[in-house]
Amino acid sequence: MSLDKDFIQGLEKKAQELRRLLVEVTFRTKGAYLAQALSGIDMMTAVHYGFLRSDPRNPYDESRDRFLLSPGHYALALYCILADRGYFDKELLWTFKENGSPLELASHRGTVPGVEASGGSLGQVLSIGVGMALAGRLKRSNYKVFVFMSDGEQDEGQVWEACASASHYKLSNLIALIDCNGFQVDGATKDVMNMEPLAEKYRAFGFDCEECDGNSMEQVCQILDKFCKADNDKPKVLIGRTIRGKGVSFMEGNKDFHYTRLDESMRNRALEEMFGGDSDAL
Amino acid sequence: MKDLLLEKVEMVFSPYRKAIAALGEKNEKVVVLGADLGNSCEIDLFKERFGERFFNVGSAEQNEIGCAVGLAFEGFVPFVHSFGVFITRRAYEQVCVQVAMHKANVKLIGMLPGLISRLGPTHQAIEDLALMKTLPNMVVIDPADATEIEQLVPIIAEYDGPVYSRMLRREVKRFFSSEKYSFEIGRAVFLKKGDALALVSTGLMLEQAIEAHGMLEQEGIKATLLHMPTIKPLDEDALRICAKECGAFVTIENHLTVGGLGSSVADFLAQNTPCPLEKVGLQDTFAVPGTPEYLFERYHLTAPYIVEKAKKALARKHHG
Repeated sequence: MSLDKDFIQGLEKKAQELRRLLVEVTFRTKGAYLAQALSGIDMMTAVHYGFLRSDPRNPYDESRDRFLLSPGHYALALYCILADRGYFDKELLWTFKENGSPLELASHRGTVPGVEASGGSLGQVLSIGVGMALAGRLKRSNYKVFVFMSDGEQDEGQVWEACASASHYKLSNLIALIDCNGFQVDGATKDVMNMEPLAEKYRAFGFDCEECDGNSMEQVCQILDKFCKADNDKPKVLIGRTIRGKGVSFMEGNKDFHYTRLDESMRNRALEEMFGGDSDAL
Repeated sequence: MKDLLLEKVEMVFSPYRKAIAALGEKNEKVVVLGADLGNSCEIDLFKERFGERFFNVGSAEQNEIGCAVGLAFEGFVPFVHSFGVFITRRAYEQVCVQVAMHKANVKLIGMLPGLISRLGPTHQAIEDLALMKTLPNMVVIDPADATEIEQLVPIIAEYDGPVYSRMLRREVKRFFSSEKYSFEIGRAVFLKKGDALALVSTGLMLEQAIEAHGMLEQEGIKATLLHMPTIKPLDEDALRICAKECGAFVTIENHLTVGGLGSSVADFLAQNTPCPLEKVGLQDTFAVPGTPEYLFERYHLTAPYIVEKAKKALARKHHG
């Protein structure tokens, strides 16, 4: 995996494309957890397009790297990535959260290929990742397990039970990412339940822990590259400091956008900000 | 029918310890998870023989469930252990969302069912059957003796889906002949046939049920004795036969009378073939700490109380 400029720029361009898709789906399907999807999309893009060994044409291949989404509320970001990569027909995106659609508001395993965990209830999926990482070792397979978490769910005690076991069993094949956008349902995480210093907690639990600007493709990729090449016996965690609603100025850091509905003028403003007059950007 | 029961009850030491180790030998996909209660849950022999497939997660049942589900998603057959109270009460949401909702191939083994623990209410699983029974996709089993334990372990491993089974440890009685008895998920077994009423028991209440059956017989009351090791799915055919032939029921369980066997039977009868039903079990209360003998007497789970309930059911049958 080379980290040359083209690689980073290619991923940056992809993340912007996905942002546009997120805005468009949110607009057309009349609502989504868009602010969260926008904060996490850079890290998810980096993993899915830059590091995850997976093949959309063979989504259940035994040797694939696993990607588990823990906060199901970020589902739309994952759906856009999976659709873009060809796990399912892109047209399905326009049915997002309709009655009977497999693209549910929170992502559930068993709905579409590429969704490997169910994350509607917070704080449970790191444990699933630990189980899959243990399984990989038993199968003598060298797949990696990526688990994407949010900062709000760090409140859940089960996350720390899972951390202890990941470290105890030296699960070097487990790579967690935390989208720290600083908000949870009731407000700023530092006011609702302050879990900082998060990095020190993870290090104390025995993780190889790195912290960076989670909306910087270059920083995220450098850490993921280091994690994937690391020759240690520790589980890894990337703590990404992100901005909720990143890329859409009127949403950035705005607590009013927990669940987001966009009218046409908001959507046009968002796209104008992202792409200016460039209609070929998508 | 009679042959299923041994002439003389035997005592078997730790049948589960041997059964789970034997399963490990036979099936390489079986993995065992424990939550700091290895000896207490009789998984130490498995650990000794198949250490690579044994995972102790410490006293952290929620994570234990999650790890098991991750292993099941990858094709393994996890047997997850703790005391019944912890695996059901403490990790209930994880069991619901990760195990039941995904129909994950996870086997939950709950030790110390009902009024067995001397540690009192924190360790007495008095509502575990109710909690597990209400979850879609979950199979729920309450074994009676060493024979059932030895037989059910490989059977639930073969069954593809979530199972909660209570488990008995250390000195476990053997009532059933290993040769003649055969456990099947969802099948109840007629041990005696009579037409006065049906005694329906589950789990280790079999012993009291047999005794009560004998006491009734001495008084000239011929009862059917139906042993029901699977709480869910319910053997409705067997209940239909009892309703037709007997027309009155007593359910007997080492559990609250709400939500367990008695409730399942009542539910079925009310919707299909209404007839008088009396329930023996713990009546809407937590129990104090104590020996099983003391507790069974104190909370009216012994044979004389079963007989009392049987007469009540009979009276209702005859006098409406």
